[in-house]
Formats: sequence, structure tokens, C-alpha cells
Amino acid sequence: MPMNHAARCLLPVLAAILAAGLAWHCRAEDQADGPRIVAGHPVLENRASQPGVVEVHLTAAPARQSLKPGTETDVFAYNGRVPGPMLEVTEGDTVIVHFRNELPEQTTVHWHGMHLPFIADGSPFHPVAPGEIYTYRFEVPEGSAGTYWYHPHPHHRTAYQVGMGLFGAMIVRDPDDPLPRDMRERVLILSDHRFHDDGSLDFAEDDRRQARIDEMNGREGDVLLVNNEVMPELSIGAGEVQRWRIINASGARIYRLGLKGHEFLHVGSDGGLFENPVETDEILLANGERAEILVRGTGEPGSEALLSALPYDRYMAQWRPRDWDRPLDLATVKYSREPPVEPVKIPDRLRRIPELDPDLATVVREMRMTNGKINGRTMDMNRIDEYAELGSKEVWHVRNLVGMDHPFHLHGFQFQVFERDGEPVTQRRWEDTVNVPAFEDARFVVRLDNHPGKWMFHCHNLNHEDQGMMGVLELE
Amino acid sequence: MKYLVIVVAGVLLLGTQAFLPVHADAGASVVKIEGVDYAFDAPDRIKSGWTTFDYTNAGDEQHFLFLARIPDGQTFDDYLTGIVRPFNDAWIMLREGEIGSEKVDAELGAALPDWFSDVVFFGGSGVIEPGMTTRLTLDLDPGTYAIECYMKTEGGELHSMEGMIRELVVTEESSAASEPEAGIDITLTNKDMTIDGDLTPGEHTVAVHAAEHPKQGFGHNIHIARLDEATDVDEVIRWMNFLELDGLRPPSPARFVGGMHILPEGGTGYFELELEPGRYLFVSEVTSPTSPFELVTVE
Repeated sequence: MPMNHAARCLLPVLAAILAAGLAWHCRAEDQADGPRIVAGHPVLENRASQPGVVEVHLTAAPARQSLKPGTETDVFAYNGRVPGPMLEVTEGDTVIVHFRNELPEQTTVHWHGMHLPFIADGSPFHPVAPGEIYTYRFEVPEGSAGTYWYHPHPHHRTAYQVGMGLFGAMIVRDPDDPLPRDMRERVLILSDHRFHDDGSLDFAEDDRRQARIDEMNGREGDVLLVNNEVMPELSIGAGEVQRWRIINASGARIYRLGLKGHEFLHVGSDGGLFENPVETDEILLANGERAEILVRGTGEPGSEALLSALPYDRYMAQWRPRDWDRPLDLATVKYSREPPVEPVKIPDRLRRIPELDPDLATVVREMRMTNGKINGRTMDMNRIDEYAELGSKEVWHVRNLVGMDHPFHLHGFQFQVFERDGEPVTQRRWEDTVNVPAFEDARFVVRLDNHPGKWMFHCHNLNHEDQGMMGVLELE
Repeated sequence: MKYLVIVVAGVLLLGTQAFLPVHADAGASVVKIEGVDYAFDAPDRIKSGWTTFDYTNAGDEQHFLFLARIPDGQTFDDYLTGIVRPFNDAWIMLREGEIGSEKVDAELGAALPDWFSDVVFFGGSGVIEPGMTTRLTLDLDPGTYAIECYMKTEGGELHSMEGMIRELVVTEESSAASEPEAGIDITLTNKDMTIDGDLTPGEHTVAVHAAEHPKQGFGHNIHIARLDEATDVDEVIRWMNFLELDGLRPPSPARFVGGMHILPEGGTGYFELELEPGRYLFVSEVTSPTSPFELVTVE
């Protein structure tokens, strides 16, 4: 039968689509053959030939994984992996991510913490439909070296998609990183799961009371994972110093991390290194936050230490789980039997962070957080909640009016918290998420520069975010 | 700090509110509180003694403000877990049809701690509409209080469970404020409600006296509903019963303009009331077997 005109016109298009799909598939397979491993994670392969460009392919698709012994679990995965492969870039790079959505629902890829154009933010304003391809393109700013992560951000579905396994690490390198280069580096992505008896993930689909608890507390799982592994073993040598980059990818669980018998040297937060290291025996990591710590092998050769999630009361008392104060183990740190080595020297000064002076801010905004709402509103994609002028410096006063923690996240811009619950914050650091405990408040200063557009601000308890505890700042 | 522009979203939210024309007495100790959906924006600590609250409903739903003094030796956290949670559990069982209303007392009796009988309800505002401000004055003892609204959402969840509850510490230091003078006195007993004074159009300071405390139930209170021709008075009275599935839950059968929440036995609280010509229902929330009401016409 002869083809009509329309069909003849469509043939080349279909052929091109098929070719593109095949090429895509081949690239994905190539990468699966032998990805480079950095900090314990396979790295997205850079397909660009020119220096200063990182061009990668990323696909979100359903997959099956064995998470509980003896069962397989349906998950969502980036390039077939949970966590997704790591994106490793250097300050000044141009990043091009060809993203393909093979999920049965729309999604986005949000580059959490990155200062980038609105169109590349992966916010709910740029959903990627099933079967579609979207290219994210952005420049990595100078001074942004640090630990970031990527995850979906579709309206009302973020908790589900992240809970299904869509998250991955991103490291921005500083060519002049002040920390010793020969330290072993680990990226630990923390998540938690709740399972049905058959091994499938439990999102309280048929349990109204649990769904209500999840709505209030956020969905927590009783199985804790590090890089999607239950109780992994992390090796260390006596005297060795390791650099850990920790990412809280849990939808609701806030981690109070402790390593028995050890102190940490806290060296960085969301937006990279501090000016000076800080000694601490615990790290509090709210949803979406990152920490960089140095773990010093002060134990004996052959000994073990537990990395634990210590009890942290982030709950409204009337919703607090009865077992909230039970410590949960995350990983075992195992010392090799090798004789101790001399610890590397850590500089006292890591870098200079430019001060954003709150006294020079021209605008003060108040964000009153209640459960599921910010300033009395739930998210409306057709409404702009706040307007700001491009280049302005602002103070945001984030107030928590209810009895549970709310981690407040601003897209696209790193800020400096200068006051918490009336007390000045003395350590200058870059953050994109600030946890505000019950009935407390925080003030931060931010410069809204370079990138006009619609920027989300929201609670990073993902169930709260999905309920609409989110707003839009239009920068023009 | 010097900021050229101050954008306070909370203030913007209040932009359309109809504030009552209230005037502070020279010696009054005034505390501003906002109710939103679902939280209170309130100070953490205030002085004891006579205290005036300017309470604004900045939410989109009706709210009241209710003060409960937590017994010494117990904490706000204890109140949330020991009192609020069992009340909610009983309500959920009732709402879900697992028990009838006649079983609620038994459920609560089994679940509430012994110290519940030492909780003192110190008054608060009656139900007010979104955008409205009410002024009330209470004589507060030092101690730890819960500020609470236990009305229900459209979905039948208690506002307090949604977060509309917070701690208020009343210090030993006295406000030294004086007791207001009232033009209207309402006395609540276990059998009835007596209103003394001229209920004329305009502003009034109303004193509410809880002369007795019921043997059963939680205490006497009064809420004032503005009625129109279509209002079903019986429906309003029924709606004031927490144990009704649609009681204290949107949609409301009437427009409320304030009142005085549960007072301790022998206690007196004051509130400002602006009356317009028309019909009003002075009604108690049903917290005891006899919850009186009065129909009032203002001319």
C-alpha cells in the first residue's frame, strides 16, 4: 500500500527518534560496563570531549532490587542504581545532563543546593513527562565546591519518588582543595525504608492511621540504609583520617549521628567547607542537609565502632513515636589490623567565606511555618507568594510556630544563618537548608543574584512539601 | 538593624482583617496572640495577674483560644502526651464509629492520668471568625499553661493535633494590672445562665462569673453567635457539642463573635463585645450535662 504524504514526512522523524533512543541505550550500557568509582560510588561518565564540560546521561526508570534478604523490591532508580550514580564536577565546569524519564509518571531532577538558572533547577515548574527527555545545563560557580545531591521534585510526588529510590550524590571539586588529597573519601547517603511483608515498600496506601501519622511526622522507615545498604562495613586504619561527605536523603528522618568512641572534625556543610574545622562528637543532619566531616581513626587495630542514629526528638509530642528514643545503628566502622599510621595534618584554616552583612539587607521577609503551610498558605503553582529584585540582599526570618522541627530549604541560593532563636551564630557557613526546631526561629541573609525566575522555598520534610508546605519567590 | 523595606508576610495576611475597635486601659497588661491554621503565634512567657489578650484569628477557619494550667510537677510535654493524645484517641474512635458517644467518658477515664483532675482551665476566648480580633482579660496564676484550640478541621482532625497548641509560662512577677470594670455580668451556674446589664448596640465589657463547677464535665463557658433569619438555633446548640461528629467542625451553623472559655469554679473573666441590633445566642459549649443558653435580641 503506498504511503500517504503525512506518513512519508513522519518516517525520517521516527527514524531519528529510534536512532536517538538506540544511541541513548548504548550509552547507558557502555557506562554500566565499568563506571569509575569515587568515594564508594560509580560516577556518571563524562561524554564531553572538551575540557571544562561535563556531559552525562541520566535515566530514571523502575527497577527491582534486593533490599531485604530473600525478597526483591520494586524501586525507582537512576541508571539502574540506588543511589543514582554520582555526578562529579569541578568549579567552573559547564554541566550538561541529558535526562530521560522512563518512569510511569512525570518527574524532575532537582540539583539540590546548586546556584543555577531557573530552567535547570528541576523544580515542579519544569516537569518531565514519561518518555520525555530534558536537558539540564548549568555552570558550576566558583567557590561552590562541596557536597550536593540530586533528586526528583514533582509537585505532590516528591516523597514518593525519593522514597522509591531516586536520589544521588553530586560533588563539586575545588582544584585548590585545602584538605589533604590522599585522604580516603566516602560519600554516605542516608535513607530509610518501611516494608510490607512481601518486601515491597510501604507508603501506607491502605492504612489510614499510618497515612495520617506520615502526614504529620513525615514517613519514616524502621530500616536504615547507608548507600542503600543495611549496616555496611566501613573500613579504616588506625591513625587514618577519612573525609566523609554525608547526605540526608530521608524524607523525614533527621539524623543525630555519633560514632562511638570518636569525635568528628566537622569541616563543611551544605555549601562547602567552613572557614575553620570544628571539633564535635555529634552531627545533626536534617532532611536535605549535607555535612563534611573528618573521621580520625583513633581506635585500635582490629577494633570496631558503630555509627549510629542517636535519638533526636523532632516530633510534636502528641505524635511522637513511642520508640523514638531508641538508637538505631547505621554502619560498622571496622579497623584494619595494620599498625597505626601517622595522621595527616589538617589545616586550621580551610578557606575564607565572604560575609553577607545582614545590616546591609534591604528586605526582611517573614516565613511562618505551621504544619503543611507557610504564611498560612499551601503551594499553588499559579500563585507567586513573594517577589524580589534580582541582585537584592535579603534577610529571611524563618519562624516555626508548631511543636515539631521543620527544615526550611531555599532553591537556587546559598545563605548564611546569622541568628538562631535569638542567639547569634558565630560560625559563618553556606547553607541551603536550615532546620528550625519546634517553636524556634532562625534568621539568614541571602543574596538573590544572577538567576531570575521562580524559586521554591519549602519544608524539606518531603511529606510536608508534598502537602503544599512550599511557596514561590519570583526574582526579576 | 536598618532595613529600608520591611516585608512582613504575617502583617500582609492581616491586611483584610476587621479589627474590633478595642481600647486598652491605661494599666492593662496586653498580650497579642494570633491564631492561624493551625498554630498560635504567641509569646513564650508573660507576667501573672490580670492580663489582657488581644487575640486575632488570622486563619481561614474559626478558632478559639483556651488556657489550661498544667499542675506543678507536670510539663507541657506531659500535657500533650497525657491529655491531648487520649482525648484525640477517644475522638478518633468516636469519629470512626468504633465507640458511641456514651463510651467516650469511659475511654477517657481509663486513659487520662490521675493528675488530669488538677489541670485548671483558666478561661480563654470564645469562637471567633477569620479576620476577627477579640479582647479578653484573665487573672492568671503563675505556672505553665497550654494555649489550645481543639476545634476540628473539615476533615475532622483536632486543631490541637494539627499543631494549634503551645506552651505559655506565666511568671511569678505580677503584671500589676487592674481588674476591668464590666457593664454586663453573666453568671454561669450548673443550672442556668444569668445576664445582668443592658445589651444595647455598641461596645461592652462583659464579666463572666463561673459560680459553680459541674459534678460531671469540664466547666462553664460561653460563646456568642450572631443569628440571622435562617439560623437554626437548635442546630447551633447541637453544633456546640464536641461529641457530635460535625460539632465544632466546619461548616459552622452560625457566625461567632467571641465569648469566654471554660473558667475555674469561682473564677471571673472579661471580654469585649460589640453588639449590633439583631438576635444573638449566648450558648455554652456542651461540656457538662446541663449547658445553658440564652437567646438575646439587641435593639
